Amino acid sequence: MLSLIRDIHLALGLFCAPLVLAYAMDGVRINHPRFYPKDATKSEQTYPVSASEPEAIVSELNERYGLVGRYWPPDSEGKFSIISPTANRTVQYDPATHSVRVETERPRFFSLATNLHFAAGVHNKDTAMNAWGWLVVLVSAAFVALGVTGLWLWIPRLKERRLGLLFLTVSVGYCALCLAWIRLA
Amino acid sequence: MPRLTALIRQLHIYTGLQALIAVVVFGLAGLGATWTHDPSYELPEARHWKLPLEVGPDATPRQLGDCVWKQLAVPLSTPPANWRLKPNAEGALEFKIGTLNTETEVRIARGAREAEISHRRLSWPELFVELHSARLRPAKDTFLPIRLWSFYIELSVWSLWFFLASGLYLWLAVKPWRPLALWSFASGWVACAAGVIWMW
Repeated sequence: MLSLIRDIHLALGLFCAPLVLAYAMDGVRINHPRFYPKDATKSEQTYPVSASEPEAIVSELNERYGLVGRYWPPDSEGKFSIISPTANRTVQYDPATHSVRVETERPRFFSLATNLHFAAGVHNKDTAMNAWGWLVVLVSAAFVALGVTGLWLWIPRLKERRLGLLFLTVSVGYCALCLAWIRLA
Repeated sequence: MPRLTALIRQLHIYTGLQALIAVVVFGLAGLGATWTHDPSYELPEARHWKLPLEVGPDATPRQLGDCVWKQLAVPLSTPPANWRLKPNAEGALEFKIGTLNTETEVRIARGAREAEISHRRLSWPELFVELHSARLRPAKDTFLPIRLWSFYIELSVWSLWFFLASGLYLWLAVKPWRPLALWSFASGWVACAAGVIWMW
């Protein structure tokens, strides 16, 4: 049984490695933004459209030109956005020419890690984003399983038991105190 | 087993025990984020009311945001960030005041003398998403347990780096050619690469 649990822990850990890398990179960036450059390439293109309302324009851009992502409503300048992990698109409609100017920002390595970290959900309009969402579900379940299997693997290890119990008790006690205090506030 | 490998294994175990709660929270956050993205997901019921504003008619978005935040006095909350305080296409100011326990939506129509407030408690999936993203903040702005929790999350994020390095080392040092390991490692990278290419 122990060797099966060890195999599961090994397999899940190695499978999750690329997403753990992305999450770890972005996790550090969130608290230390100066560690990483904001790296993205920008481009601009104009597309003719027949719709005039933002949501309808976004649907048309999706169907006619393959610009997929989540719709973000207009700001005070009337610009709206199509957001996806691999492209942030700002759209400005020109009623005189029935066209939209689309500024596309594509992430490079570090920005991509950030965007992938925030990508989730399996009910998007885009199949590719839903597929990524399912991968996130798998990796998230794997995180929980890695914790449980790791704990299971530690229990029979006599050499690491005493100090391990101290680490576990301190961290669980610390977390329980923080969470109870927060939840009761 | 060589001493270095044994040492790294011990450190991997101790780090895992220290970060156990965080790793489980990260996993539950991913599942929670997926679940709450479902359009049919029912949010907890909100309470609605109108709040008379205590600022003049020419208040800037920043002044409006600060005024509403002070008047509402939501426990654990901090003033809304500047990027949240941008009027929409109709000139209305809509922003959220989020905490680890609650979410408050505020809407102030252009020229209005009162704010429309919608306030609710977070559901458990939403709570895990918020817990996992607790970030370090200056002491004066932050309730102590949130600051303590965010230290733990920061430490656990660095632990993820250590898990990556030590986990890969342990695999390569002990059984590098094991088919299960090779297939798992390769399939993870192939799945990620395929996902990114498909979304590109």
